[in-house]
Amino acid sequence: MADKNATSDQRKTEGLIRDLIDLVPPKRELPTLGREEPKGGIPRRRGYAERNLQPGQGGEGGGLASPLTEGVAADPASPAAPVLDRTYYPATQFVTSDGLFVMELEPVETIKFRDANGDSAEFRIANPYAEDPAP
Amino acid sequence: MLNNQPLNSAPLNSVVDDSDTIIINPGSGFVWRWGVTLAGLDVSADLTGPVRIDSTEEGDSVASFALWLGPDPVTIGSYTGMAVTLDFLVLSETTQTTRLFTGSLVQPEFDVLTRVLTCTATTRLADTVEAMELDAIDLLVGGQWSVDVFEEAAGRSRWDYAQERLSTRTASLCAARDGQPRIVDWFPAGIAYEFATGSTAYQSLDISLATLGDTTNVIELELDYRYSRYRERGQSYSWLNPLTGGNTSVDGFIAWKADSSELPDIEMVTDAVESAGWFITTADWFRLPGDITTGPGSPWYNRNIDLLLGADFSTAFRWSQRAVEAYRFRLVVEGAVAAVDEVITRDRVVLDTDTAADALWETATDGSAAVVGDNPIDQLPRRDQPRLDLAINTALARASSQLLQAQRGNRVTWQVPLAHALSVDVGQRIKLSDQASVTGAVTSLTAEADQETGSALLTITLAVSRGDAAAVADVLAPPSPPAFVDDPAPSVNGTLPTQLIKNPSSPLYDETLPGFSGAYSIGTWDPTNRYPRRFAVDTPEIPEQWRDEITAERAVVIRVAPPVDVLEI
Repeated sequence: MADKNATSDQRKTEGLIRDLIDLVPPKRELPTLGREEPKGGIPRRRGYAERNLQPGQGGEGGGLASPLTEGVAADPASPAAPVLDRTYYPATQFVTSDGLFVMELEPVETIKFRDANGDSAEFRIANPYAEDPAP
Repeated sequence: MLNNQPLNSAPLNSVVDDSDTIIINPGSGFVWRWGVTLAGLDVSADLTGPVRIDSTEEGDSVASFALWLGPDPVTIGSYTGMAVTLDFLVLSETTQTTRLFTGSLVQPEFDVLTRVLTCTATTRLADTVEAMELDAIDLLVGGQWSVDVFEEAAGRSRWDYAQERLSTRTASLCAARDGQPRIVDWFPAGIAYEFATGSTAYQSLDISLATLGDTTNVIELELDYRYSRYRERGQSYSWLNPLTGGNTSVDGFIAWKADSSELPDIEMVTDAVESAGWFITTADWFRLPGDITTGPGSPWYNRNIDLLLGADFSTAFRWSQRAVEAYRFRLVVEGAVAAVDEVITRDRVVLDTDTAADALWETATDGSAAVVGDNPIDQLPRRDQPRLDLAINTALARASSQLLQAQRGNRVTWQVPLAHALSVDVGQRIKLSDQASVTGAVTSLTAEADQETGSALLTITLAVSRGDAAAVADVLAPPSPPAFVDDPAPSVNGTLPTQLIKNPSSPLYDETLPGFSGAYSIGTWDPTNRYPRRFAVDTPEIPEQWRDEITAERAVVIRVAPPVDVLEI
């Protein structure tokens, strides 16, 4: 009997405590904003662009970028190998003064180059013997 | 709305329509009994001892009674949860039945020896509300609710949600006599009952005054709203090659052509601006003309028409700045402060936004911060006035309601014969004119009647609001937002100079000068002194005060005027 009452009282007490807890509003932590990291200012700045070769400009540089390498394009198989890219005037015969020997030479007419930018360029060389009357 | 009147349409409690007031005079004796049902069965005959019903304006009504179950075997476990109704029957030629309680048995206790079942029944308000949909709660409770003042409702207790909404009203949630949840106003209009001289039980009048510490009369409410301001600084530049003679028409070109120099091109200008982190918004380019075969300037052959003789261009830099609008509300009951000095309660609400989208703005070179459209940067989270308004309105309503509640802490209690006041209910405005002159709203009722002794009394508790008839109430509304004040803008000279080398007497290259430097087309300079062909702009400083978090404060005092009740002994 005493035990039973104790159980019953216990339950009542627990119920009472639960009810009381329900009644008390949960203590609210007052919210705050999180700290923002300062971003700092941005100082006065210099914006700068330098291009020492003006496109299309003649005269100095002439739009060609040194060095010039013979050949419009390198040999893809061996880029370092020399490429001959020339045309020639018709063969001219030279005769030694004693008339014993005759040499046949083809003067260079054009040489094609590529510049540092890969653009092609061409030398056109005058034929020094063109004025000679044909023998 | 307050007292069924739109707010501020009339002085508080000015409309008290007494015509409907029922005067309760001293009554005669009466014969009565309880009517009790358990799970629909009338068990009135089993009742033993007193029956007590407590109803309050806040929360559940509770009834306690005891039943003698007789010698037959009983299934005691099935009693918990049984539906209970309690009626008070006044017996005369026509029996008058008044339902005083509807609820469920929550904790029956059975005494094996005496075979008496002691019953406690409640209205299970929390369970009822917990089972309701949010819409239904909104409809029932009303009030205001902001996710920033409270927290996301999804997944949380509906009961808590109902309490949150309730906290913004001058009203309470309780259970009606039919067991259903209902809202009772703290300040109902019109006096429902007046208790005339001699109507109260002898020596039953009691007055309990509020503790000073509970009578909050000032609420300091801080509300911070932080968001990103999407900012843009503009800077215009202007450059013209001096060899044009300052002329931007074809004559300028002709002048330059006669004595020409190197020129910058559009790419250089763009690159210079972008290398400083800025970008070009608009530009008016004075280009070197293309081929001119006839007319002024001819003959002229040129394929590089991006070369510039001059340019007017505008640039911009974008950044985002975290901004805090700090509202400092002070809600005050002036009369109470004058009487008892300040009793302060503090509250604080913060609204924050995330910064995830800020980079969108900082990297975009199109759109504007003000436009809302389909462009991704138009989807930036912006200052949200409706969200702020809702939060302010909700927090102010809650604070104001808290003040009004604190100013109605005085309680007056008396007893009347139960049968004389069966219709008196929680939430009614009542006037007591016996032994004292008191008005107030009924906050709790205790009906206690014992069939064995014949005593049947109703204890009435009134909350008496302490107001000042002359007090002025300010409107609860969001104030205009505070303004952010920027430090003065650092400036740069937008007119860009030119330096061109011509001959050995030309000055040495000055790298500090912005603008264009280069060479005349024909000249006799020393190659080691040749100026680089370059274009440079100096962008203005963005001060840290423009970039670091900025706070602007708005302080507002809001006067709250509690309704006026009478309390004279």
